[in-house]
Amino acid sequence: MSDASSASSSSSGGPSAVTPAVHLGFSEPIEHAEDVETIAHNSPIWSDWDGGKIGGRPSWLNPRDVPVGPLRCRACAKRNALASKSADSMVASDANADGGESSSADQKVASETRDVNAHDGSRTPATTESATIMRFLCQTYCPADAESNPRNEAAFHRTIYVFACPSIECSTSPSPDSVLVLRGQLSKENDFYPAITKDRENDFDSWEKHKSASWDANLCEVCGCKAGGRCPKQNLWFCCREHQKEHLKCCRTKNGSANNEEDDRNVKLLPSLYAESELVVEDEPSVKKTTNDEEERLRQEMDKVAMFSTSEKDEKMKDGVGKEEEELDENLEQTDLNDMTGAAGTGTSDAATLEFYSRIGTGDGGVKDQCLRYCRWHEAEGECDDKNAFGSDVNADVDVSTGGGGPLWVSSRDIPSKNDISSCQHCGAPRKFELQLMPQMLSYLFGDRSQDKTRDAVASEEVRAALLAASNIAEQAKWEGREGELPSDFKKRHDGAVQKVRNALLVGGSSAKQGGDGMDWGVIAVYTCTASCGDGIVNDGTKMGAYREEFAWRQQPLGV
Amino acid sequence: SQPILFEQTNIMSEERGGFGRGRGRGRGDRGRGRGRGRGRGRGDREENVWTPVTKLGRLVKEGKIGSIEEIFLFSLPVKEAEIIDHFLKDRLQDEVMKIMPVQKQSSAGQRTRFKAFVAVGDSAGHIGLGVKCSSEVATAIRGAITAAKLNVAPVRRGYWGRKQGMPHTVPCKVTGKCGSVRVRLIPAPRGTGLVSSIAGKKLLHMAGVDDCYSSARGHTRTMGNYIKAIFYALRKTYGYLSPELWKENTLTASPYQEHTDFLSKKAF
Repeated sequence: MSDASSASSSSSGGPSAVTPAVHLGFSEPIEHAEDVETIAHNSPIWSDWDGGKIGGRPSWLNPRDVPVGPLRCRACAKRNALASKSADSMVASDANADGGESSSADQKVASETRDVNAHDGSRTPATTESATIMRFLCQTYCPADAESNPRNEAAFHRTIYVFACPSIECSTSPSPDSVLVLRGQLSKENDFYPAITKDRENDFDSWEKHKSASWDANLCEVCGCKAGGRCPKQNLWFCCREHQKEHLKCCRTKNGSANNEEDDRNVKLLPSLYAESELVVEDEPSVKKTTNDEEERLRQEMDKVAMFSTSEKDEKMKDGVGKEEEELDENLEQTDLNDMTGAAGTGTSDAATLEFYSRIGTGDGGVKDQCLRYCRWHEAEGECDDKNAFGSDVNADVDVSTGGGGPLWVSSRDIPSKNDISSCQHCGAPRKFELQLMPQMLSYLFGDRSQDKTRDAVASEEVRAALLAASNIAEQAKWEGREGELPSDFKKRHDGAVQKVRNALLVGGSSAKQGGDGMDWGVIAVYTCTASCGDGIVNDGTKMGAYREEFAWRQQPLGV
Repeated sequence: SQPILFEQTNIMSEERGGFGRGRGRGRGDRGRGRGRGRGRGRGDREENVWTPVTKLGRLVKEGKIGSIEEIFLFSLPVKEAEIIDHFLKDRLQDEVMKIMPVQKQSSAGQRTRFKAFVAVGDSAGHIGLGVKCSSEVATAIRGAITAAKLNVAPVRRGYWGRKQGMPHTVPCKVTGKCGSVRVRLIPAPRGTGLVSSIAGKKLLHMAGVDDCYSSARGHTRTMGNYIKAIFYALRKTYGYLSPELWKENTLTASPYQEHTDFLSKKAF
């Protein structure tokens, strides 16, 4: 078994289950500029590698056979293709009497195609070229040579990279195509890192083989993927025109002048890059197991202060009817409570969401800022496909808060079934859940946005006060039966104004101006090949170099 | 035996870190880089800084939403309990309404879980009810508090007699009923306080009613029916929201017309 799991029996009844260890990832700020050199694979001392990094540019494990930029969103490409196909077909039916729609569409595409990615000789259709470029989210170092099935020594070093599309469409109606997961790995003996790092006489300051420059691989100055060409004006390499323009606009470097005081190579200035921080690992705190006696004592204590007690003494005092009503209380659910208070329309009664908060609230709330959850290839608790193992109650009878592997979903919407998870396209092995990105990571990716325009930009204080007052007036008139006294279009105007501000807040907010950065997610669950196939060196003809694609499920964010 | 030994020696000489490697890292343990000592800083852990999980949460933390009333006005979806905490802060109280054992029949025998019902309120017109079931009492109560915060709703209050100062009581006599329970709420002058059973006192206080007479009949020990009855009664008494939100310069003698003009000038 993997050395990562620890065996412990579950608290209440049932068979004793092996509770897999869950690791959590947290964002740690990079205090000093020079520390960047020690993060992830920027340092060749691999025995120190741990965790990973969030934001910035990817730090490639294999610095030579890197993916070719730009990494475009396939969901956006598909959407564009559908849109242009319907547009083309309309044009074609007018223009070409006997040619048929398809040939006309092809001509159109062919004339617009440019040989941007000359490396693999393929032609990218116009629709793909205009697709949004995905942004780097995070990378994690997670060796798997011992756990891979069959065992693969090339997974001695192993790093997972996650990229996602920042467009608003892909954030609100996500598909697996809007996320790109790459897996890089290397065996212990490789061309890039020293064999033994324990040698303290040599501190490897002059080691260069882990840098892309040593292998004549030019990386894009903006995104860090393999570059296509050089910009003569800036004397730097880029992977596409968009990044070239972006760099020119944001980092106006005069000839020979240094960039910034901070040696982060303009991460803060480039909109395509998110704020950079380090990803550190911690164990998830275990739930303190309490005995049945302790539980009973606590229950009695709480019962004394509760508004409505349940103690047996009272039950005896009740007459026969009391028992029935006790059962009524047993069946009260959140939706019933919301009906009472009037929170029915706006409240949250999704059991999965409440479980989500329960789970991240363990350890007395000390781990609420977790950015990543890691639990490789263990089935979710309840272990079998048969959700009815505990009777007919399908509604989350499994107490997630006592521990267990598997993804922790943010709501019960849009949860994948086994069929949705594709198997590895290289070796056919099944893919299983390995890690998930949490929505807390977004706060760290966006960094410090307090300098952005204040809330006055969306709607000034006077406007908001006016709308509130108007709402009061409308309410009062309604309940006093005096609606006839209001001006005829008062309600309509008011509702319209409220709607406008609401949309501005929810959809735009402060991020609308940042070139359509609507990046958002509930969770991004990453499923990886259980064989961890490949040797990490051979470039198998795809644009991804020696890195292999894995599968991710992007769940809708809460509140959408 | 043999293979395991080999593996052990391997692991020891090639100490790799990374996710999935059992290092026995605890909370706050400097898991980062053997000897480098750079783990999660202890500093901000003590302050319990809020890391939002939703877009609205991020907006609230950045200060882009002015008050909880804007949340209700714009029907913004609250999916994080910390949003409520942010606006209501120290005024928010929670009370356990009921904690009851619930038996479940499973293939392995009987399983006892605890169902907790909690009410949260700021005594200024906002109340939320939450329920959570768990095998541990503490988890159930904590979960119910979160659920209550996620389901906060505004409570409307009125005046008794002269409309002076803040709303403090119900504006008229009302009765709410559910099952066998009848709850009657009657306006009371300032200073009367809440004349009611303990449960009623707590709920009315949380909802922001300061003064009220009440009488109840029927099986009032049944929580569900009792609170349903009380809330039905309260909802029949809609007055208007706290006037503190009204700004003097937006309203004059003829409020409605002036307001329509004001809105039309802004060219929404």
